[in-house]
Amino acid sequence: MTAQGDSSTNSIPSASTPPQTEADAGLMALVIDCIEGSITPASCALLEARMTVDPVARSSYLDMLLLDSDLADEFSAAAIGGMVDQLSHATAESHSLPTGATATAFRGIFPRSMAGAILLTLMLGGLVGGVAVWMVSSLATASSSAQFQTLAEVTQTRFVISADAKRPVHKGRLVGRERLRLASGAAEVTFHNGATILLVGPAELELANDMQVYLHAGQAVVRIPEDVSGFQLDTSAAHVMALHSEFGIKVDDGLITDVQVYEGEVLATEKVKRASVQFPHAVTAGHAVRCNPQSQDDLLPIEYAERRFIRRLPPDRGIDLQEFTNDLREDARLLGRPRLESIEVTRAMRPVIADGLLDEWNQKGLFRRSRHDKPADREWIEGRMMFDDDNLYIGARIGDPYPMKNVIDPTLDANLAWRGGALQLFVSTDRAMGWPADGNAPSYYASRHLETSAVERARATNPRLSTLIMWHHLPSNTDNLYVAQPLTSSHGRLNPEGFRGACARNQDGLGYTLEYVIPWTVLGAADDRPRSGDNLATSWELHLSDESGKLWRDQIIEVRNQTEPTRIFLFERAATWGRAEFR
Amino acid sequence: MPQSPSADAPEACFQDGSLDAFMRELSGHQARLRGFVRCLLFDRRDVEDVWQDTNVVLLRKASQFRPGSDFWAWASEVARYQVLTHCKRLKRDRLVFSDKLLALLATELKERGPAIDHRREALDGCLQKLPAPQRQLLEMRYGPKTSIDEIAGSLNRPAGSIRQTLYRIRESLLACIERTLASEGVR
Repeated sequence: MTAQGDSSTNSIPSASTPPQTEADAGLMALVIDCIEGSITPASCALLEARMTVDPVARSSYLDMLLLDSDLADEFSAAAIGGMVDQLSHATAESHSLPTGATATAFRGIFPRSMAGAILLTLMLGGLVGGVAVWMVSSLATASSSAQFQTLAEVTQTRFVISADAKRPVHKGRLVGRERLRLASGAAEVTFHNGATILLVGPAELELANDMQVYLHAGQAVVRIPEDVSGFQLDTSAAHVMALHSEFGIKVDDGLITDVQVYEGEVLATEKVKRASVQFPHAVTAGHAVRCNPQSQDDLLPIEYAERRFIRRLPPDRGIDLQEFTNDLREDARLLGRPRLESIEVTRAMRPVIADGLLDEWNQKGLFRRSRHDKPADREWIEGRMMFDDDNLYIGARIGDPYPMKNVIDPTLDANLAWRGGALQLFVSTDRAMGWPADGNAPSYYASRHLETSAVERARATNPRLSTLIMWHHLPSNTDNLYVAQPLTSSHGRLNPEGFRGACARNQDGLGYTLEYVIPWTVLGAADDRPRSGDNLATSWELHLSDESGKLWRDQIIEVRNQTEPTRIFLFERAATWGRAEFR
Repeated sequence: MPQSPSADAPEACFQDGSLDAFMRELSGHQARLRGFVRCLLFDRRDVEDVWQDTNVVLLRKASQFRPGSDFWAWASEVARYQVLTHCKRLKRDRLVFSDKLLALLATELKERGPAIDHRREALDGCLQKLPAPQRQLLEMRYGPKTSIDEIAGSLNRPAGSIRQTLYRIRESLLACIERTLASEGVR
C-alpha cells in the first residue's frame, strides 16, 4: 500500500512507516494485542506495569483505543448512529405512545441489534414500571457475554496431520476447553500461564482448564514453569500433579501410563484399580515409573531413557529478509559467507591464564577462516573454544592490518564497540533448548511483517542467550567485555565480575591474539552449566574497522546453521547460530 | 404517562423540556461513552454490553440530571462504575486491568472530555484521505464478524501481515489526527 497526498500536511503517510523506537514498538505490540483480542495474561501484566507508571504510555494507549472505538463505529453495522437513533426514537415515542405499549410496537423502529432492542424494551419498561424486562436484559447480557474462552495456543507444529478435520491443529490456533486430536506429527501447546505440552501423535489431549488436562492417548512432554504449581494431568491409569518440572508421559493402547521426569519432581498416583486407596509417589528427575491398570503391583520403576521422548521441536524455518541490498558483494559484507555449521568445544586440560599467549590451549577444535578464502588475505581468524565446570574459554589469533585500534569508549558506547574492530560471539547456554537455539528479535518479526505471540516475545529475552563483544580499547589500554541479550540488545553489562581477558598485538603489527575467560555465571548458566555431550549454539563474528578504529568496514562470520536462509542476521534469530559440540 | 410511575421511571421527576435536554446530552455523548468503555475493557463484546448497560443506568437515573450541569462528568462516572461491576463479574474468567489502572485511565478519559470528540471529528477527515485499499481493509476488519484470519484467507496473505498492515494504518491515522488537531490549534 502506498501513500497519497502531501506528506507535509495532514495527509496519510505510507502504511509501511516503521515505529519510532523499540520501546514504542513494544508498547504498541501490547496495545494491538488488546485491540485484536489476542492479549494474554503475560502481555496484560506487561502493559499494566508500563501504563501504571508511564503517563505517556497511558496516553498512547488511550489514543489507540479511542481510535479503535471510532473506527468500529465508522465501519460497523451496529454503530453509534444506531444507538442515537434508538435514543431519539424512544424519546419521541415515549411522548406519543400509550402507556400500555409493548416492545413489539417498536420492532419496526429499532431492529438494528439485540442490544438495541433490549435497551428499547428497558426504556419502555421504565415507562410502564415493568420489572420483568430487567430479567430479560440480564439474560441477554449474560448470553452475549458467553464466549469461547481460550486456555492455550498452539505455538509450534511439525509434520502435523490432524485427526479431526473440523478442528485442525495448526500454529497460532487458540485452544479452549476441548480435545486436540493428532493423527501424526507433533504440536506444542502453550497455556496462558506459561505451561507447555508437546504432544506427539497419534494422540488425544483434552483441556479442562489451564491447570488440568487429560491425556487420552499418545505421548507428551509437559513443562511447568517455576511460578505455576499444582498442574494436573490425568490418564486412565494415573493422576500426575506437577510443580516446576519437565516430564514425559505416554499412554499406550493398553492404557498403561509411563511417566519419566527430566527436571524437578512430580507426584504420580495410580487410579484405583482395587478397593484400596492409592497414595501418591514422588518421581524425581532421572527416574521413570509405569502405571498398569492390569497389574496388581503398585507404580513400577522402569528404565529412565533420556532420548525416549521428543522434548522440543526445532524452530520453524527462518524467513529471508526480502527488502535487502540485491548486491551480492554488499550482501556478503553484511551477512558473511560462513562455511562451518559446527565447532568442537573441548574440555580445558590445564588452567587457562588470560595472557594472550594461548600456550595452554588444546589444538582440537581449532577453525580458521579468512576474509576471501585466499592465502594472501590479510584478514583472518583462527578460533577455539574450551570449557570446564566454571568457565567458557575463548581464544583467537586474528589477522588484521589495523589491530587493536578500537577507540570506541567502553563506558559510553560499549554496545557499539564492534564498529571499531572486535570479536563478537553469540552463545547459548540453554541445555534444555539444545541446538538449534530458538528465539527471534522483535525486529525479525517487524521487518518481515509477521505477527508475534507473547510466547515468541518471551523467547527473545531468554537469559541463557548472550552476545559477547570483546575488544581492546586503545586510549585506556584495557581489554573489555560487553555482554547483552542478543535479540533485544538489552541487559547490557560491561566487564562483568569474574571475567578475565587479554589481547596481545602480534610482533609484525598485522594482527593480535585474544584470550578470554568467562564464568558460566555471566552467561546465565549458574545453575545448569554446559557439560560434555551437549550440543548448544554459537556463532563467531570478527569485526574489522578502518585505521581510525571507529568505522566498521567488513567482517568475517563463521559457524552458522546451514539449514537457515542466508538473509537473516545473527542478532535477529538464534536459530541461525551454528552448533557448539561440547566434548 | 403511567399513573404511578416507578422510582426508576425516567420521566418521574422531569420538568417540562428536561427529558428532551437529557436525551440530547445522552445522544450527543454516545461516541465518548463508547470510547470510554472501550479503553477500559479488552473484549469488544464486553464493550457493547457495558455501553448498553451504561445507557440503561443513565436512563434510569435521568431524573437526577439537571440541564446545564456537567453531563460528561456524571455519565463517565456511571460508565466507570459499570465497567468496575462488569470487571468484578469477569475477573475469574477473563483478563481485566487492575482497579488502580482502571481508575487512572478513567480519570484521564474524563479529563479529556471534548478532546475525544475533536479527535473523532479529525478522524473523519483523515479517513477521507485514506488510500482505497487501506480503507477497504478497515472496512473488512471492522465489518461484521471478520477476523484477521478470515481477512488473511480471503486476501491470500499471512495473518501476521494483515495484522501488521492494520497496525500501520491505525498509526498513520493517529498521526493524521495529531496533525489535523495541531493545524487547527486544538489539543
